[in-house]
Amino acid sequence: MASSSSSEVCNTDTDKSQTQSQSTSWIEKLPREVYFDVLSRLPFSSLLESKLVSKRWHASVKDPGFGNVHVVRASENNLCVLFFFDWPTSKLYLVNFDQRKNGGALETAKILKNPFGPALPDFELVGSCNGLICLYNTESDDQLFVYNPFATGYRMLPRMNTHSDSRVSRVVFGFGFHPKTKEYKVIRIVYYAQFNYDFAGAVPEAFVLSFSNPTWRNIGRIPHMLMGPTSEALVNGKLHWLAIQGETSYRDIVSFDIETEEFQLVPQPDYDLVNPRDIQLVTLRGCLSLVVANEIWVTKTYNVPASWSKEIIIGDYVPPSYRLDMAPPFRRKKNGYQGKALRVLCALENGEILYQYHRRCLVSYNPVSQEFKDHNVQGLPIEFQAIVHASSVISVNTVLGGA
Amino acid sequence: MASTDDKVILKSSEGECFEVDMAVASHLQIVKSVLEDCEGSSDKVVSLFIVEAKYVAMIIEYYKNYVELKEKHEEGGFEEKLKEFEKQFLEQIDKKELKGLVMAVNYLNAPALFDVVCTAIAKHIENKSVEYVREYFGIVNDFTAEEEAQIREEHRWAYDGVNDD
Repeated sequence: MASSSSSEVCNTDTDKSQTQSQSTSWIEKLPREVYFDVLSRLPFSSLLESKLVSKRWHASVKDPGFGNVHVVRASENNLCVLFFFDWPTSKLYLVNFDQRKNGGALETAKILKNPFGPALPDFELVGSCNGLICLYNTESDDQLFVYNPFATGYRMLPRMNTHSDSRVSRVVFGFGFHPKTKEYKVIRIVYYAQFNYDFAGAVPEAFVLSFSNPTWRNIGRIPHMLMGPTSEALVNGKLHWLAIQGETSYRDIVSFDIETEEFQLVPQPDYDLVNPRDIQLVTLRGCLSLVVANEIWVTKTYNVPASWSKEIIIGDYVPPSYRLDMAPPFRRKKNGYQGKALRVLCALENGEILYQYHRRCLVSYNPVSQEFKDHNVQGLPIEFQAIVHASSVISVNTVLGGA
Repeated sequence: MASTDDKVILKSSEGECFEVDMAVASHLQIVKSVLEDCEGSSDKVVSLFIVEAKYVAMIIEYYKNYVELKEKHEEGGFEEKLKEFEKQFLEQIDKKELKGLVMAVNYLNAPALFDVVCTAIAKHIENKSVEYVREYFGIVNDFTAEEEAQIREEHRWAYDGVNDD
């Protein structure tokens, strides 16, 4: 048993002969799936620290097989919040959210290193999925970049050729993973500027890149006016965006199935929309949810119109830490931005709802006690866009094909 | 045979026999599937070839309590009571037994106890120093000082210009 299991554990880039020659402890001799299961239960910081225990241990944490086991559990246990800030230069801050500490406590924000350096001096955020962060460069044809700050490797996705004779007016993105096919895909919907003399280029087109075969494929025209810049909700292997509904101020919910690559309209609840900008999609406990002003609608059973229910109303609250001074200058965003005043991020284990307030404060709301908690995170910039991130050890090199 | 219809006999690697209620034994997936395979047979003895009597007894103790608590707290509160019991249960298990138990539970495919034991092992790594982990699990540090420094650099790499604290 011992000799057979030892060869299973270390099929990574570490020198095999060296690793196998060491005498090992029982924990490292456990069947691979048991050993991986134990490691996957560790808080993320302990997992990273434990790489120093031994060569075999180090190799296991870096094993792609372990990465896949870990990510399933990590999305439940290791909540992080990623903060994006773009002034004067683009930066990402990561904050670990320890939900076990009384009521949930956010640790100090740390700035993530930009591994792309001069190739990506300024960037915008496409999204975060299974620990992988996808960025794009607005200055350079919206080229895409993917990396995991906690695993080796960072990659630039291939450039894409759009209609050469049409001017791109804006681009809408999506980045996600399908749990069945285990495939990561990036989608990019290109809207062209409409000129009187350029009808041909006016129809928006969708391009998809699969990580297993990273080349851009044009999947055809898309009849929806999606609101960008990026998809906010990934549910059941489907990305979701809000779309402008004809001449009305209402919005459609449009889904894109990562497996079949089909767009679909998703039934939605009957809500009142006062301000057309005041609406947002989010995933709460795995369910597609719609936030309209301060009301949270949740659909328990996907695609069933009757399963939408208004579950939570967030009361009026101005966090004490909210400050209007020191505002950075207004920055126009080519692809638009998700500027809703109250932007819901996720549901916490204790039932609270975590949201960002006016891009300045992070607040959690307890729907039972109707209490608010102002999360003062040390080290954050004055303004930010927050998204949920699940730290993983999945390396972009193992999921993205090609060189 | 002394056992009635709702009893089953589990035989350890040493040949020791344990008479167990079906309600308890059915939590062990391997026992369940063996019994399903030979349904109709009067012989209700399942050999757990590689599991020592000591571990068979522990596993039975766990699931006996599991079943009893579930029955008693049908209305609610089962999870808290189970957590209390699990804490006591783990207190009487030493390091060596933890290892034997995880192997046995994995072999028998008993999800609830597998969860408990793996979490217990993980607790000996969680927020512990590397030195503690090596000592607890008897692992020899096979890194050179240079290699160790290089790995430390690997996760410092993630952050931009911050201290380690």
